[in-house]
Amino acid sequence: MRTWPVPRKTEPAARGIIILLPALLLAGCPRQYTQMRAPPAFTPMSERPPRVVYCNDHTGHVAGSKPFVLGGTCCCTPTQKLIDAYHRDGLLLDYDLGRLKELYSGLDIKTAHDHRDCNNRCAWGPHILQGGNCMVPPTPGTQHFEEIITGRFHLPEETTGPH
Amino acid sequence: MDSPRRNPRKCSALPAVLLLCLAAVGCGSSARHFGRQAFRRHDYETAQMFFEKNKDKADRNFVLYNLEWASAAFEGGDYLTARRALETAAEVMRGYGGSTEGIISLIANESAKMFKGDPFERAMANFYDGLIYYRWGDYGNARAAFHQALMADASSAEDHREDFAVAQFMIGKCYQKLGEPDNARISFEKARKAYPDNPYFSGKALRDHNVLIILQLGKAPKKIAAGPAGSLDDRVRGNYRETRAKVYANRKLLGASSCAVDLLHQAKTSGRTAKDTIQAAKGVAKTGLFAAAAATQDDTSAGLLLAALLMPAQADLRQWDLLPGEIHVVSAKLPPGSYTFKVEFFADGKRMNDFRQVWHYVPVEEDRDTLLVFRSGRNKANGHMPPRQNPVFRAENDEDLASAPQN
Repeated sequence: MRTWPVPRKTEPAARGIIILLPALLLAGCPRQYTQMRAPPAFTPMSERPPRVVYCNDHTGHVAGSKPFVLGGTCCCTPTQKLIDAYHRDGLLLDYDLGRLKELYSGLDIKTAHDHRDCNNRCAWGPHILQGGNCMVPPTPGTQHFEEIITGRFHLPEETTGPH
Repeated sequence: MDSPRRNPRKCSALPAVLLLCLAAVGCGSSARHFGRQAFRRHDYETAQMFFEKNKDKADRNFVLYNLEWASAAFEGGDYLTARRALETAAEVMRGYGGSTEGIISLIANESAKMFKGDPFERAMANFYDGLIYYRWGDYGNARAAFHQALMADASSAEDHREDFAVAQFMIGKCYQKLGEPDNARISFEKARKAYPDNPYFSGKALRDHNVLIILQLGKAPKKIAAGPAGSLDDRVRGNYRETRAKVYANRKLLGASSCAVDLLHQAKTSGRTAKDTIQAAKGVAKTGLFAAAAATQDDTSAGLLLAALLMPAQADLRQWDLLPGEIHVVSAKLPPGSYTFKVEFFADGKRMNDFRQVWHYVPVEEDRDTLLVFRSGRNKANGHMPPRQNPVFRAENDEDLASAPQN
């Protein structure tokens, strides 16, 4: 008959370890520590600029778009030049620069008038498109910039990591 | 022969050993570990989030935590956070450790001391700081930061004190912007002395240039243990293949990159300090104790062996390993406007296809220089785009306008 190698009588400490070991193995590492999403296979990026869906200071204002906070797709920093462009397109005719700035500050939205170069990772971030309170134009030459102008976001990592 | 059945004590050791092994390996559950993993995947936002968790941890790695946080923020384009993290790290790096640190290094492992980085690491922290100021058009502060980088490198070996060429070059650019052409010329000459083949270090060509591209190639030089009983540290080149890059703006070649600083060279010419003498002495003593223990036949052998084992001679192998291996530059003149920049990296003359980067709508402004910083990496600028998600619509308080997002 085959004999089981584990002794019947073990010391209490050893017994505890034997019980603990399978429990640890079963519990494993927390999911958020171990599951890192594999990157998609490399696809060369087109050199043709993508269509600007959400305009900002770097892409230049897209004619005919109204402020994002008012249901449009414009995320440009409010300036007199921008107000003039809205008016030319027949938009926001009852707004002047002061009122537009007040609208943003009333919604606690920070613009390039407040700070810059945060790439929307500041205390007011993320970008308003992502539900945050930061409308500072993202940094060109970053993935985040490409995402903001196209409105196509890579899903955030599920990993939350240790606290 | 004892069977496990007959000797329960022997058998019970097996799970205990397994448990210890598991505990030692762990889940790799440190924020730094995951931050580094994310950084290597070019997911700088996640990396920044992980590194930020450690930023206030006041232990011997405080500087390292802040430097890593700064790296992730800088590469991810969050220059505001990068500046803050670099400032915090620089404050400690500049500080004098006091006599306590000297005593610690005598009686304990070198790694028990507060990490302050090698001269080239301190120079790089100041260099990044300078780049941020330069980007903001604050040329006075940028120049000061680049000077700090040179000062940090001044503790290198005597022949290599002014070879941090990229900082010299940037000081020259700052002087040009500040309207001091003579000082600019002197700085460019110093940069050219270190890298005579770099075509961008010529003041004449640079005068009209308004676009400056800093390219970070490869991985940081790796710190390894060397010398007696591994008591000293040495550096070897990080594992990377890319040797140069070409930059295009709107499909037109802007220029091929030229090396402005090789961090391995900087690391290797850091110069030996009193710390290294102490470490070497500890290493020799440790080796001597081992030899004595082997040669001795009496009871003192065990004592000598124990003393050798306990002798803390191990070199400090901590390093800011998120740095690149080399820094290259490209400089050009472009009319103001919006550009698509393409960067291609080459290894042994062959183009590295999955290293190609394309960035759209990069503005070149009229009133100030455009500084762009790119870093090489496989699969970094992937053209794969996920489907568009509906953004969070915000308008609640304005009934004048439509209530649904227009696209």
